[in-house]
Amino acid sequence: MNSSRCAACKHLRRRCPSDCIFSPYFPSNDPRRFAYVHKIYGASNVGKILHDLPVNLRAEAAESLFKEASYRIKYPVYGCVGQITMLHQQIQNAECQLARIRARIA
Amino acid sequence: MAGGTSPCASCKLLRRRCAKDCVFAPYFPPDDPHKFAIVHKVFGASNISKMLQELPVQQRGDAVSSLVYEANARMRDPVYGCVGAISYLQNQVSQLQMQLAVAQAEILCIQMQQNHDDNHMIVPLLPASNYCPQLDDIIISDKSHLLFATNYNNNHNLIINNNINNNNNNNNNLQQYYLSFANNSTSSSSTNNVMQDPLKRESLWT
Repeated sequence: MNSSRCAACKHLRRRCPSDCIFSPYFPSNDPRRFAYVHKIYGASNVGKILHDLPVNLRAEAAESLFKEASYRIKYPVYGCVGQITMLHQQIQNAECQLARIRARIA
Repeated sequence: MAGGTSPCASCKLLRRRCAKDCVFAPYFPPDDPHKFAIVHKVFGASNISKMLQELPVQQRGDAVSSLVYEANARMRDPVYGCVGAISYLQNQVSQLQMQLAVAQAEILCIQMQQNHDDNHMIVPLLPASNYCPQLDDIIISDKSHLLFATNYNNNHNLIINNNINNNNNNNNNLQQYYLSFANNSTSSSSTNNVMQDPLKRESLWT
């Protein structure tokens, strides 16, 4: 048995194999990271998503899954989609302001 | 099937009996199987069920819509999902903020130039380049009144009071301009945050 299990295997209470797909991205010193993604996506889905990606992209994918899960836990109704909507509104407001100011300059 | 009605898309996919109080049925009608398929693929039916059950009924529709959106984003971009869209949009907001700051500084320069052209002298207490300083926030009123520019980061207060009196006669009665310069702190680069801070609350989904 691996003397130092990753956060995922600790959470799932199982052996952490040497080729554990979670261990590079969910270290044991940050249990919250895996807890969040597991709550929203489930360990099985996270494993499938990571498995389907080339190794060099898995770290980014794990990070984005954690961010999305964090948003969803913080904002249970809209998740990160609420942030996207807000940013679209900001862009629209800024474009209107810019158009008005440029009209004054012209 | 309860009451002879068609099972919802979720129960069809999961191949189970669609109960009368099925939590999925109101949001995953049988005529749109793809909608549930995609959220099930990304989140899993069990997790969706738990999420919906933790929400008041009136918020579940919006929650399902946002879950479908996120699932679609994750399918399109398995690495970054929605987070990629957020990064892209934040970048756009920053660029627009910079453009706004430049445009507002341009207006300030134009108005200052117009004031100068109206035969009113501005006493140069500052180097020429400081006539168009880096500005965080500009409030510009009618040019015949107060032109007020403030750089909050640098604590510079550049106040030009242009009190034009069109009834001045031809003697050398120069208009007085007030230029006060407070607190010559070292200038730092402005972030040009002309936008208000984003609202820290969930926005409405329509």
